[in-house]
Amino acid sequence: MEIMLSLLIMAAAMIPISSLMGYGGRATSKDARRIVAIQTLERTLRQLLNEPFAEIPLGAAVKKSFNQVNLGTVTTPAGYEYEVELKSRYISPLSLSYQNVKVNLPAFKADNPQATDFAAAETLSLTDCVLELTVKVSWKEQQTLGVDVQAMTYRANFQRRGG
Amino acid sequence: MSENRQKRGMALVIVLTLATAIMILGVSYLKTIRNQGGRNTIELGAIQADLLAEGITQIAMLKFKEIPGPLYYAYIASVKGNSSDPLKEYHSDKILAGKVTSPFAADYQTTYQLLPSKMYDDMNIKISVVVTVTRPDGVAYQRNIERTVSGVRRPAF
Repeated sequence: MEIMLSLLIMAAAMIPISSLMGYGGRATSKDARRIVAIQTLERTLRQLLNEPFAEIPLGAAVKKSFNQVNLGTVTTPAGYEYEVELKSRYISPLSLSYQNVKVNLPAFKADNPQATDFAAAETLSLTDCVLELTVKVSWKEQQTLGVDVQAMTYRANFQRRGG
Repeated sequence: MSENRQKRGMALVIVLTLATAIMILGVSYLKTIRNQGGRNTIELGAIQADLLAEGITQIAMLKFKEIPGPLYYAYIASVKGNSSDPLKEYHSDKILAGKVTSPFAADYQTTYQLLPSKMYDDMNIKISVVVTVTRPDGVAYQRNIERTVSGVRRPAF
């Protein structure tokens, strides 16, 4: 009787343990998919930072690959499938404020500028010189649940005046 | 006979002890899995902060490229103690010191610093961008990116 009861308790204890093993396996796969998605996100944005400014497409949901940047449906060597989407828009006009220096004043000394040598605050406005780039990598968990990771950066046009 | 009576119940004791040990191991296994998920979130926060800081650094470099003189003189005026307002004005752009709320929450600060070596021959500028990303679980995560820009001062005439 005692042995039977012990066996029953052991059997009952094994049920959650076996499901825990399955849960652990699924969690590991889920983590792996998320890590690969994060790596894809970083690789795509770093690639965008290296592409020529003029060749980066504009749009709210760009999915067409260009140059070295893979967009749209991307299958990784591990066999995971992701949707990579680029949102790209100009920060325009870009306003940059500063105080100009009155270098032509007779009393101006380049190595010791005084408060009176500075003009009132001004703003330099630049058009279409900075892109805001947002990349979204999305994938499906449990075949239906949509998950995504996103990051953003800016890209400046340093060649706007030919170098 | 009495020895057998003493041994009664031992199987139950052993099984219950084993079941408790398995339960403890199971709970610690679950905790490990959950912590692993947290580490992924940290990694994403770090990458978001890094990439945002890279982008802001590009804007800061563009500003320096477009209007280098005002920064140079503003920095000297500040160092000499004549006035710090022009330097503050140079740092005041919202695109260089602001925050983003989408696709993640972050705030950032940009600082320009002239490097003291060869100040009058070279125009070496250190641009520091500090980004604080607020992770989905509410924990703030900070990254500091520094870039040095070297330039040669050319005579105006």
